[in-house]
Amino acid sequence: MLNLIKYEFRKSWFVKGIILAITAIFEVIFLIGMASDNEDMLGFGVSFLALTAVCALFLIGVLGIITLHKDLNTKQSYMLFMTPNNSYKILGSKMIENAISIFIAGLFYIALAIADITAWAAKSDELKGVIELINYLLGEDYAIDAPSFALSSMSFIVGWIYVITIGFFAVVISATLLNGRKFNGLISFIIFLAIVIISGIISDNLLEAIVGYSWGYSTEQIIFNFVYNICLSVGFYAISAWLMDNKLSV
Amino acid sequence: MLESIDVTKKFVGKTAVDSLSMQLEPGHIYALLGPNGSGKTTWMKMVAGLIKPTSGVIKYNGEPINISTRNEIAYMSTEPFFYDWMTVADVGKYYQDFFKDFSMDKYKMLVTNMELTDKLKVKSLSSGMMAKLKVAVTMARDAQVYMLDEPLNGIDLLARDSVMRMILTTAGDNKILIVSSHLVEELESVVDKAIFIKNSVFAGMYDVEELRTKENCSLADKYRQVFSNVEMGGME
Repeated sequence: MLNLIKYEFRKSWFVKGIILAITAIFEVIFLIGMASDNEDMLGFGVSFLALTAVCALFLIGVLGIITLHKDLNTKQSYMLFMTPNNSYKILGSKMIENAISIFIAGLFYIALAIADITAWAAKSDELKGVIELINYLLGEDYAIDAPSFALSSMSFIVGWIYVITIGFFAVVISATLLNGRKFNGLISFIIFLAIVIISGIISDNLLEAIVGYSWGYSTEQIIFNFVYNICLSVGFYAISAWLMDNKLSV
Repeated sequence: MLESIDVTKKFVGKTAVDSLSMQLEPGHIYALLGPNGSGKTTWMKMVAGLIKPTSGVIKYNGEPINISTRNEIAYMSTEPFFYDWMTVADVGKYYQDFFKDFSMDKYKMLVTNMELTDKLKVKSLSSGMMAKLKVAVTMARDAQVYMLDEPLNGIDLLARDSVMRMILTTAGDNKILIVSSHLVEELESVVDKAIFIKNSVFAGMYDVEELRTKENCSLADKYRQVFSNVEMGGME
């Protein structure tokens, strides 16, 4: 399975390299702006670093779905399905690669943000002011100096991995049960949306039943979402892999 | 032994393979013959485990085709299937990573014989060079069953000779080789059995030597005899 994971990383390194290069450009703009006290450059750097971070997590996830689609629907599928690996390993390697990539990218941008904020505050000697400003913007429950920040970030990453897993499931449905049928792409996209919406409604109802409310950012809620998303991700992974093993013709 | 037992594959609106039953024994090189769309490729893909039969079963040594039989069955698709980012060297490394029976030394030798170089990008290969690469990486495995789908397509005469030599060199008492091609005359010199598939249905298996001695006809003659009406679009 390590070999499968290795090649999954290899398939996506080019796009990740571009994301890293774009991040480096905005980071340099930020650093120059900070060093030269150029507020325009500083603002530009901060804004686009934040935008790049959000887009990077989104792109890495979507890239995983596109790669799976290509691996099931083009002749490149032979590269995977000729090898003596079952679908649980093949899909598992894709999920592991995607989860690790999203996780590492998330940690990378969090670390970069902390480093930039620290450097910026140290230079302007306004660390407390900057953090207070960010805390004010983020709200008390998502403050950057609170332990809940790490938990919230983790929960967000797991939530995103869950959405990607549903994307994988929709692609597998399209390539198996709906293969060769009209509008299979559209139908599988509708299935994707339906699952995300319905699982969200179920999550809200369960949360209300367990902790009494379903809005805001409490620790209980974050832990619930964390566990709920992991359970659903594992469930949909198992169903997808079973479908691939039993119904997939490439 | 490779057994195809009443195997049918239906796609939406089309039956690609219809109740195909036959047995293939080790120690033979089989030509799989039939016009375009007769079901040869679909049947090979089912043996390779890439396509699931709608009904029926394919068995290798008494065991239905499954993940582990992929260790023993080497399939070369007629279409290019390598990742775009790969070089010729990457293709060999990939096979080495996944197939225990793959010999890197043999691969390097075959690639050199085919006048390919390690650093060539797969996506920049001409159709002929791609065909050579597919044959080289498939034959560098020490599999028990080899299936080559149209291995002679798009390659020049000298490379065809190389492919033919490779097929003959690989053949052995314990191996099954299945080669599909439209170049019936060229196959005739290497195969000893011929399987005909007509309109998705098994249309007979012939011993090539017996055709020559008993029926006094070549494989190409037999092909024309079996398929002449089919190739005229069903007109007699």
